[in-house]
Amino acid sequence: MTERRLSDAERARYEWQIWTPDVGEQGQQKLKQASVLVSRLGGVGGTVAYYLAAAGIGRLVLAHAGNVKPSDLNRQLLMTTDWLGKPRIESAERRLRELNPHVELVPVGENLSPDNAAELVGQVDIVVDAAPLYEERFAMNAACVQQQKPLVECAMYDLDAQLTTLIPGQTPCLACLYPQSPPNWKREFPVFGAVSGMIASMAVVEVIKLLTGIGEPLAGRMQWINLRTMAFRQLPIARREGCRVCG
Amino acid sequence: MLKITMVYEAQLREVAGQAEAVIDAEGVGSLLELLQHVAGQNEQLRPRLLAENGELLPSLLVFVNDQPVEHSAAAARSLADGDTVLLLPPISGG
Repeated sequence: MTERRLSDAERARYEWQIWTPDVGEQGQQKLKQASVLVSRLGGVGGTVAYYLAAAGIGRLVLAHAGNVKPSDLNRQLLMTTDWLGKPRIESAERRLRELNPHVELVPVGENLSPDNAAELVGQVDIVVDAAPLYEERFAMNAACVQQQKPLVECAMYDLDAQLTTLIPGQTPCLACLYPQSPPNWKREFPVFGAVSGMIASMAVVEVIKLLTGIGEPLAGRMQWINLRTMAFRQLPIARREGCRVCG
Repeated sequence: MLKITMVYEAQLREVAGQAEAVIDAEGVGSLLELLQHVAGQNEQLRPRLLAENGELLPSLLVFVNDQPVEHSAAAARSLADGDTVLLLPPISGG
């Protein structure tokens, strides 16, 4: 069990966010007590993990397989040039430890799958979905619905991005929105790091809100952002009757 | 007169070749018919809007005037002049 009280070093580190009026030291303690799973540490998930660590989330479970490739480096801020060809999870762990040694890291050198989803989701309070493949996303969603854990869903393509917070029993689940995998799905697509980083930052704000109780989570609503035009649309989303996962 | 504004985002914008289009939908009786009409004019859009059976593609999110439309209701959903149909394809992390 993590020590709930903040040390002097932690108090100093988080001082500026503790100043947030409805967070305070009590809110910071909630973050310290919390655990979050981030599935994939790419352009979205890596930035999510970085800001979660910066915010002082007590325990991060991080799942990502494979080795660092040159094409990762335009957006995957936890991956570094000197780590090319070596495991992504090691690069991510190193960068996060450099940033904040107070955070407990649980690195998992494999991607989330139907085989490990329940076990990984079972270790945390909240899950952030930053995975590119729908099979992974559906496995995460099913485990979250089964275990009644919030799932912060973030995605991007080109200069577009979307975000929603799925809360079992209250909001649609991912399978309500997408009852089947999209046909002919391609896991590689155009994106700038600034776009994935933007939606990742917003996802972390959702996690902070859920954990501290401040503000209003993006539940039952989807934020769609078109950065070409700077149009921010907030759209209602509804549960699907007879959903194969949450229905 | 039945003018409908179509808004295409992400991959759909690429395939449609435009972010928005105003369509003369005179004679089109429902949202489903509208999308079938659009798909009939652009063969590349068709598989991104419709399933092989001609129904809406399950992974496509459809909004009329920013309100979601359940796919099963698309055939009965009528449209009015000036409506905006927003189409959001599935996107993901990475």
